[in-house]
Amino acid sequence: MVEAHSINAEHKDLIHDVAFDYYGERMATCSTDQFVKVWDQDEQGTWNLSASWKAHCGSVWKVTWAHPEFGQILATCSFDRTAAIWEEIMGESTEGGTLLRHWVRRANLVDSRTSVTDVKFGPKSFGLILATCSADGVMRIYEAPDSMNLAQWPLQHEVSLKTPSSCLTWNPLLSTFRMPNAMIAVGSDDNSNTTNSKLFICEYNEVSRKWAKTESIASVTHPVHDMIFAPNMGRSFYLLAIATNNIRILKLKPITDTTTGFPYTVETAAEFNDHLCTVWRVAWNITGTVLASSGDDGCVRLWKATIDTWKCVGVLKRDGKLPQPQSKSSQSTTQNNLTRFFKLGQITHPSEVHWH
Amino acid sequence: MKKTLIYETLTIPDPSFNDDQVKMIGTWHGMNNICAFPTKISRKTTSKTSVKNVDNTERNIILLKHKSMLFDPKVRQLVNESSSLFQELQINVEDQNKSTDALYYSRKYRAILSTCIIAIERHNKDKLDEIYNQYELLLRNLELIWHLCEVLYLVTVPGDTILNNLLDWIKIHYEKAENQASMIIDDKTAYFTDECVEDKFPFYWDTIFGLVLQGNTDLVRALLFNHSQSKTEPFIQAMKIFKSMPTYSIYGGLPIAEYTSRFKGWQSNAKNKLECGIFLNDPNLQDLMKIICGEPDCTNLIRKHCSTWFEYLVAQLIYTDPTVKKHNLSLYAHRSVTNYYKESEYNHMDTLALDLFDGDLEAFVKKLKSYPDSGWSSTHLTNLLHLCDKIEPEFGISDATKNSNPNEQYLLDYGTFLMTHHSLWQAGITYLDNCSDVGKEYLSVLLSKLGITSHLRTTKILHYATSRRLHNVVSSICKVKGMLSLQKSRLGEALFWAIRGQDSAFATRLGDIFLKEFVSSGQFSCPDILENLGSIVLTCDRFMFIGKYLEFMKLVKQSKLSEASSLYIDLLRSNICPKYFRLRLLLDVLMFIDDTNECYFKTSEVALVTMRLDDAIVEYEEINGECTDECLSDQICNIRRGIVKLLSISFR
Repeated sequence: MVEAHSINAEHKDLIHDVAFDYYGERMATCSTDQFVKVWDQDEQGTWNLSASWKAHCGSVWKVTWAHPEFGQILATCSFDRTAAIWEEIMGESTEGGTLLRHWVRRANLVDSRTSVTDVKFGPKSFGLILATCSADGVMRIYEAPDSMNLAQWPLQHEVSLKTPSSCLTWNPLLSTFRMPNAMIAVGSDDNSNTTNSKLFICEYNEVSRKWAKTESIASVTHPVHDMIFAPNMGRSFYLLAIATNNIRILKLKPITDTTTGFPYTVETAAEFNDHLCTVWRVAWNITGTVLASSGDDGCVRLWKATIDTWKCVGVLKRDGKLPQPQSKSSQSTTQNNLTRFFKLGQITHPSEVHWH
Repeated sequence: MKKTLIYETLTIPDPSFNDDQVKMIGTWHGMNNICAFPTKISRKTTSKTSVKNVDNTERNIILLKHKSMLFDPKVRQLVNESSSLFQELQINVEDQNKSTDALYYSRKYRAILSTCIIAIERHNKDKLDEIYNQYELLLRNLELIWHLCEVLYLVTVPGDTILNNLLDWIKIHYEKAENQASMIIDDKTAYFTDECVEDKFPFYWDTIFGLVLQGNTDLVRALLFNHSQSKTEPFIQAMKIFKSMPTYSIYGGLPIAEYTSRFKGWQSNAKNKLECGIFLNDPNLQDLMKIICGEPDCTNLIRKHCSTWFEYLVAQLIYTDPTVKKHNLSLYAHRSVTNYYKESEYNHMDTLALDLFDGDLEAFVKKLKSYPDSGWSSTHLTNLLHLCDKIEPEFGISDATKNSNPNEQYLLDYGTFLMTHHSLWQAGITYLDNCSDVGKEYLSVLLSKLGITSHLRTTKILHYATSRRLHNVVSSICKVKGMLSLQKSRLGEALFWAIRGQDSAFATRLGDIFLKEFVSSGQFSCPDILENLGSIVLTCDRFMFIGKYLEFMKLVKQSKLSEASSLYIDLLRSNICPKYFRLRLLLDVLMFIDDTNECYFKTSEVALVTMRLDDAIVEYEEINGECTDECLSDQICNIRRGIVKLLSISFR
C-alpha cells in the first residue's frame, strides 16, 4: 500500500528541482520564479515551509545540499550565470521560544559567462568542494579551503568541454581502491544532431594536481539530460545511470594494472527504451539498488537489479483529475489548503509495487 | 499457469498534472520514499522569466510512502520476535557442539506467526476492518504453506510414508469440521430429550463428511452414535466399519505390505456391505461408504466437501493410497489441482504448494520472495532451509565472487527494508550483521542515514556503531550533531560532540571560538565543561592550551603566584598558544606585579617574555598591516612597562 502526501509548493512558476537533505527530513525546491524554498518535516511527518527567498535573477535550475557534517548548506545554480552558496543561520529565539532561521548568501560564484546548468557538492571525504557546469561547456571546481569559513570559495580548476553541458555527477568511493581519484562525469544536451560523444569523464590527477577530461564515452551520442553515479555500498565498480534518448546504465570497472590511459573498462549494463521517448531525470535510492527514471511520457519507472539483470518493478503514472472522495480505491482528506493525504490502493497482493 | 505481473502501475492523481505538457519527475527521498513533482521541459535558453499575469496553476509536490504490513503496530511483534529467534538460530548454527534442530526452529517461527494471527483476530473481532482481514488472510496462508514445507522437508519420516504428516497439516489448518463436531457432541440436551441431533444441527452431515475426509474416524463414530437412528442396522454396521479401519503407524511395527493387505481387506469388506444394499435407506450413509471404499466415481462428492485442493488431495489419498510415498505426491498433487479447479488459473499459493509437492525447493524459495509480506517469509524460511542444508547455496548466482549466497541477498534486502522504518531499524541490524562484508557497508551507510533528532535514538545509533567498530559512522554522526549545536550557538553542546567523536579538528575550531570569546569578554562560557575536558586535551593542541591556561587562571585566583609563574613560563616556552591569543596571554604578565614586590621570574624568563612579545607584535603587523589600533598599542605599552618592572624586581 502506498500513502501519498501532496504539498502545495507555492512557487509562482515551474519547479525545476526538488532536493532532500542527507536524512530526507528537509526539502529544498527551486523554480523559474527565481525563488528557493526550504521545507522541514516535523515529528508528525507534516512538511512546513521554513524559508523562502529570492535567490537569483533568473530561473533557478538546480538546488543541492552539502553533507550535514559541514553544516546546513545549500548550493544553487541559475540562468543568471551564477551559482551561489547559502548557509542557514539561526537568530535569537522569538517570544514563542522557536529559533528564527534564515538563509544567507555566503558566496556568489560568477565565473561563468552563460547559464549555470548544474551544481553538485563532492563526496565529503574530499572536503567542502563544489563542481558546476555551464551552457558554454565549462566544468568548474570550487573549494572552501576552510570548511568553517564559507565566504571563501576560490575557483580551483576549469575544464573546457567545448559543448553545452547540462548535468554532472561525482563518483562515490569504491571499496577496493584505497583512495580513487576524484572523478566527475559531465553530460551535454547539445542537440545539433552530431554524432559526437555527449558524455565526458573528468578526473583529478594527483601528480599534476589538475582536473582534466580523460575520456569521452563514444556510445552516448544523444543529448544527455541527467546523470548520476549509484551509491557504492561495497561494490568494486561504478554504476552510472544516464537519462538520454533512453535509460542507460554504464558499468565502469577499474583496471588495476594500467599505467597509462583511462583506467576503467566501460560497458553498458542495461539499456531500456520503455519510456519510448526522451528521459529527463534519473535517481538512485540510497542503497543504489533501485533506479527511478522520469520520461517525456510523464511516467516514473522504477528499475531493480536482480543479479546483473535489470527489470522494471513499478510505474507511476500521472493523472490530472482528482479521485472522487468516495471511490473505492482511494480516500482523500483535505487537511488544509497546503497538504492533502490520500491512499493509493489497498490490496496487498503478490505483485504490488515493491520498490525496496 | 498464472499470468505473472512483472510490475504494478500506480496512478497518481493530482491537479498539477491537469496540463498534458506537465511531466512528472520522480526522485528518492529519505530511506525508501519517492517524491514526484510536476514540471515542464523547455529549452533552457529561452526561459528568461517575463513577469506574466498572476499564475494560479497548482504545483504540488507529492511524497509517496510505502506502507508495508510489517509496519502495522499489530504485526510489529512478528518482526521483533522473529528477529530474536533468527539471531538465536544463527548463534546455534555456529556452535559446533549443538546440532541444529531445524524442526524446532521451524515450529517456533510458526508459533510466532500464529500468535500474531491471534493478536490480529482479537483486535478485529467483528471482521470489519478490511485491512486487518487481508493481513489475517495473508498470514494464515503463509502459516499453511510454511507448515506444508515443514511437513514435507523438515520432519523425518521413516520409509517416506507421508500421509500421517499431511493429515496433521490439514487438521490444524482446516478445523471447521472438528469444531462443529465438538459442538454437536457437547450438546447434551438432544441426548436427554428426544430431539434429533441431525435436525437440530443442519450441518450434521457436512461435519461427518468433513471428518471422514480428514480420516478422523473416532469422531465420526461418536457423531453417528448421537444420531437418532443410531440403533438401526445401517448405523450399527457403519460404526463397525469405521471402528475396524486399520490405521498405519510408523512405530506400530506393521510392515507396509502387511498393512496394505489389511487395508485392502477392510475396504473390500466395507464394499461388500455397500453392495448388499445395507445403506440404501440413508443416502448420506451410502455416500459416506462410497468414499471410504475409494470408489472412483465419488471424486465430485469429495470435491464438494473440500474448500481447497489441499484438502481434496489429502482426502483422496486416505482412501486410495494410504501408504503414499513422498516422491509420488507430485503426480497426485497435479492431478488434484487440475481436477479441483474448473479453469486453469492458479494463484500464488497454488504454485507455491505445487513447487513443494514437486520437490522443487529452489523454485519455491524464489516464488516465496514475491509473497506480499515484504520478504519476511522468504528471509526466514530460506535462511532456515539453507542452514539445514536443504537448499544449495549457489543456485541462480552469476556474480559468484561477490554475494556467494542467495540467502545473504535476502538478508540484505530484508535488513535494509527494516532499517528504513523509524522504529524497526534495530531489528534490521540483526539481519545485516549476518551478511559478511557487504552487510557492514550497508550498515554503515544506513546507520548514518538514520535521523538523529531525538537524543535517545542518537545514543542508540552510536551504541550500535561503536560495538560494530564503525568508527567513521560514529565520528560522522558526532560531527553532524556538533555542527547543529554550533548553528544554535550552543558551544558547550558542540564541544561535547567533538569530544564524543574524538574529532580534534572540530575541537580546535571550537577552542578558537572559546578563546576569541575570552579575548573579547574576559571570561569563558560553559566553565563546567571546560573543567572536565577529559582526553580531548591530549589529542587536540588547542584544548591542551585551554586546559593549561585554565589551570593557570585557577592558580592566580588562589594566589599561588609562584606556581602560576612557572606554568606561565611553560605556556610561553612551549609556544602552543594560538597566534590571535598571544597578546592576551602576554597581558597576563601584569598579574605578577603586586605590592609585595615578590620576585616570580628569573631574568632569563623575563627575557623570554620580551622575546615572545616582539614576535607577537611582528605577527600582528603581518596579519593586520601597519595600522595598530589605539587600544592595542596601549596594551603593548602596558606589557612593556610590566616587563621593566618585573626585570627590576628580579635584579634585586
